[in-house]
Amino acid sequence: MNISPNTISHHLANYVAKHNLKYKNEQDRIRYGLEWVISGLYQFLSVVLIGYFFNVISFTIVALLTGALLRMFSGGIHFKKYIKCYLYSTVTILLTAIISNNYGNYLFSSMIYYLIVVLTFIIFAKNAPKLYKTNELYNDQEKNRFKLFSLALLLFFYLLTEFIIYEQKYIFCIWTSIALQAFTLSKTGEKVILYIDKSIK
Amino acid sequence: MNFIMKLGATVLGLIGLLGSKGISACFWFMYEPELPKKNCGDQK
Repeated sequence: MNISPNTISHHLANYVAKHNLKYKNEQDRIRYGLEWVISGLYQFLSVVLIGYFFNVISFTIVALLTGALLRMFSGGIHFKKYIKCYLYSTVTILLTAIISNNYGNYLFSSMIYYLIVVLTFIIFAKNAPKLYKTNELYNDQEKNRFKLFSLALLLFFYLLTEFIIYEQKYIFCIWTSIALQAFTLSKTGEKVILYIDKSIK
Repeated sequence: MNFIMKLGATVLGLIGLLGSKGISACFWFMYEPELPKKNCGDQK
């Protein structure tokens, strides 16, 4: 049984077009939207379940939300196949959560924290948004707006971790997630992800 | 039964259309579905 978001969304969009003729002309757009929703749902449920299993649920949700919010505006490099991206992101989130929970307090260093803050601001200012398939859908003004939203979100996270959150392991979790997101915007990140994408079938 | 099928189709259609506008396109994964074909209405 194929339960990939692509297959399910095609089936559901066919169902929608068949039972509500009003949506006949919108069938592929509905498929596109449902594919996003289903893949997002898979990601969220997996992260919550695995987080619960490893007893790091709050960290997996923090890592997911931090990366998700930023990625919404900044974009980032993509794998070609769904299963690769699903595995990569789930493993990354889980590792970030486990390391933050178990070693966050020991690994946290103020100097590295401020260095990451500065570096991520520079990477986002320079490279965001990094769009691929949706690149042609937005003009330069809209892309600049995405960049500004990304930077505003970064500022929000900085203020959050500077003045509101005091637990070092959560600060570690948030900025590791942001650093990983910044990595997908960088040229090195693009090369590494493309290399992994080509190397794994 | 027909009403339920149509209601289900309408709800799914609305979710799909909202999703296509990027409302749910915010999860942290490195996957992007194929864009809808251009003859299927306005894309944004």
